[in-house]
Amino acid sequence: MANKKTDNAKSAKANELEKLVWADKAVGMETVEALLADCGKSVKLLVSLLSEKNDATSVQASFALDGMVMRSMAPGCGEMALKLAKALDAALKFAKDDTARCVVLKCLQQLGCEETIPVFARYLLTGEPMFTYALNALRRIGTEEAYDTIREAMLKAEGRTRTLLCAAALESYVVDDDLLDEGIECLDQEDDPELIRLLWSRLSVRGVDLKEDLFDALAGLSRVDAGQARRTIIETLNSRDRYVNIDDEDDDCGCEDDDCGCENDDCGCENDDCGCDEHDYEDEYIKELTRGFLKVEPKEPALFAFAAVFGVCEETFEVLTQAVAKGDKIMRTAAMKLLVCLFTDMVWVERIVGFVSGIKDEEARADAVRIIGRCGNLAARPFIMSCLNDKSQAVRSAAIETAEFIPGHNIVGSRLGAIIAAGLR
Amino acid sequence: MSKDAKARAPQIIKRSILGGPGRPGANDKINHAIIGLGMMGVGHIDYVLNDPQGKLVALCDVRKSYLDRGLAKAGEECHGYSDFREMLDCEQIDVMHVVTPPHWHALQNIYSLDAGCDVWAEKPMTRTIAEGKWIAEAVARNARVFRLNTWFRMKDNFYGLGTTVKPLKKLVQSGLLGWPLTVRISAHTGFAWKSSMWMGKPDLPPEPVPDGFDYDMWLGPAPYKPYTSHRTSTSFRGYWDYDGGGLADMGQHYLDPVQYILDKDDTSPVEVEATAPWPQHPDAVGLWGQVYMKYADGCKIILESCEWGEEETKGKPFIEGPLGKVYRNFRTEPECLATLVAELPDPEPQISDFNVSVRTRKKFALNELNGNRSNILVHLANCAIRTGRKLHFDPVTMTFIDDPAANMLVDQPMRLPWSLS
Repeated sequence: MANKKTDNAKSAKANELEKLVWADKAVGMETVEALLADCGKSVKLLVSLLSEKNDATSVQASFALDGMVMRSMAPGCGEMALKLAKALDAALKFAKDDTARCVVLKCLQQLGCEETIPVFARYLLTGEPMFTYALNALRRIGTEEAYDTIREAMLKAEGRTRTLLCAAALESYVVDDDLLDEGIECLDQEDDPELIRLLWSRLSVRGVDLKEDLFDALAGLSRVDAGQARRTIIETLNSRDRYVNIDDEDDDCGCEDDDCGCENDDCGCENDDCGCDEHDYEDEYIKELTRGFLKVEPKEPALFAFAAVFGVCEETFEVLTQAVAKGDKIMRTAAMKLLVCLFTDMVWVERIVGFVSGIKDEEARADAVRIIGRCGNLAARPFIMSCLNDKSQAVRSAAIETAEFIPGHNIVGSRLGAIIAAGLR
Repeated sequence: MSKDAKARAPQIIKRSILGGPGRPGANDKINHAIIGLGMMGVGHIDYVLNDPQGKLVALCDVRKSYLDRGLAKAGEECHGYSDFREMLDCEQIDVMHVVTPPHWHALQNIYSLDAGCDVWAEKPMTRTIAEGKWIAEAVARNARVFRLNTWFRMKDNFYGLGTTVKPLKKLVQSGLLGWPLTVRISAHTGFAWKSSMWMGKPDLPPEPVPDGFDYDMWLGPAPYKPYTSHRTSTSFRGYWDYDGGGLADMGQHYLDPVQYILDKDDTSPVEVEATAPWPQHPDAVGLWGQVYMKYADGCKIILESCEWGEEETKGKPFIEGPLGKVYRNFRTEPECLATLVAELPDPEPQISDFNVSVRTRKKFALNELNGNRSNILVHLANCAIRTGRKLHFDPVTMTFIDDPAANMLVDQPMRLPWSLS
């Protein structure tokens, strides 16, 4: 009698699950709600049905679990999500094979509950395919506890697994010198260029001085491709200032100026000029990296990075004007645009105008005039007007073309402007 | 090396030693390379070979048979690679064609942009919404030009609608249809969504990986799943790990012109909802019925697959406004609109020749910015289908409002060591 009752119950469940395969939303929602209502039992059954063979019941179970995850992550359903996560954790032991375990881990990854961190910890040392699901789940949760979990596993791991865990741990907001040292050690032992690039990026963002390795690779003097170095440098320059090195922390930031305005005990000093050693080190590394990047690869990405790092200063002005003077059309265009966008004060505009006036190549001068005109800076207006009388037709055309962008009286629309323009054609 | 059935050894002279890439001068050929040599990749080979301004310098595929086939077509001067990073490092490439499955698009587009290439990218632009933003950033920081491989906003008949896009744009921008507008994209208005064609199969058992196929590299940033041929041939479109079904295949072809017509190139809908089977399968893409998208100003886009559930768009116009309607073959209500169009001003000119973009450095008509917006339309639709509820979207942050499940789909982690910081 008991067996018949159990069989009937199983059969009823099986019918319910069959309904879920490409179901109408109303039917699907009703079935999923029913499964969630008896979450523990439902999940245990569903996980036991999952299989690498992807047979009919496994497929039904996949539909059911995905529905339960999506439903429990609806707005305002936090408790339901946690309940489901706990049920999935408890049911993991019923998973038949790695495919089944991955389905469960993926569900848990999507739910992203901090309470399930210990679940993922168990799978960080089991190898693929569970490793990636567990690791990505912890990265997604992203709390200090999640990253501590990654780090603890790293200390027990070896080889590629250790390196991947180290690279992931380095994403944490706060790292210490031990972790940086681990990263450097992993680098020495690693052959995979993508993994090297990942470690390089993680370490370089923290201010670990990799200039020599990076520039060697850029110059083709390394076993690692230039592309990996380039990506590392770009990521470093895009990501700076996001992280804190706690071993740089000091109760006394080391600043010699008592009134520097430091608000924190750690190196997050807000006064760039306070003379704090740690602060300078980070800035100096970034600056040297940027200068080196431009020297080894004098192209637009380095130019943009230079402008971003150094900002409005004499050095940037020199770099950009050199690029306009010596670069090809693409480089000239990029450099000129950076000049007019960054250096907007009257004093700088006058210097830009003086520089452009001295460009001998007509096409280059015309391009520069065009860019100055299009930026619409009123300070450039007299210069653009004067270009209407330039001896080069290309420059005159560029001036006419862009005059409308200069605010104020439309010099081409005016009678005088029209006469000048007609006379020039 | 002989031409038949062997990949030619690359010239291992690194670009960095040669002093950086050359740029095409006004009379120089533009050097092209292609990653991904499946069905679409072969089409790209043909394009470059028929372009008098272009030269095909390198090809790459993780499948030896595809690479051999491509090299046989391309000719002796073209080099072959199985690793796109090596190709980027060794070759002087002006334009990179990224023709791999969408789970690779963000990485390969960005790697190529960072290496100094302009990019000709297949659609959908990316597999997720977040990746689209990163590509746009990479284009900007590298001062590159970027195009998507769709063109109906610029030329050719707009599928089965029976007209090009230009008169539609002229009519809409004239205001003669009123505002807001509703646009319907379905078989009844001339568009086939291929939902059944690109449906995934949730019940496939694993198979052995064939010789000559680097499955791990093919997967790249996608999570590991046991190999099946259906996942990795053209039907990769049927699996969420790599693509988004018929919606993702045809979406940008259909939605980009609509976005252009409605002048929505720099914004996105604020609401999206779908009728579809629910729950969806976590791995295999399924069918859907309708998707409803609404912009903040009231404009709507309605997609209908005509392959599942009830149909709503039969007999309805393609564009409908408070003052007028446009049906297939440019039949209008009132009728006079169809004849008035000839007198209306043309839209702003667009650069429709990518060679011009490459040489002048001006943005192509369908670039990383407006391309990402139609890319987002595709993903909004799929997110609504997968979550099974109405979603609210912020066009500025490009995230969903108060929906963790949907936001989980916006940005999905890559398999390390692949990453975009």
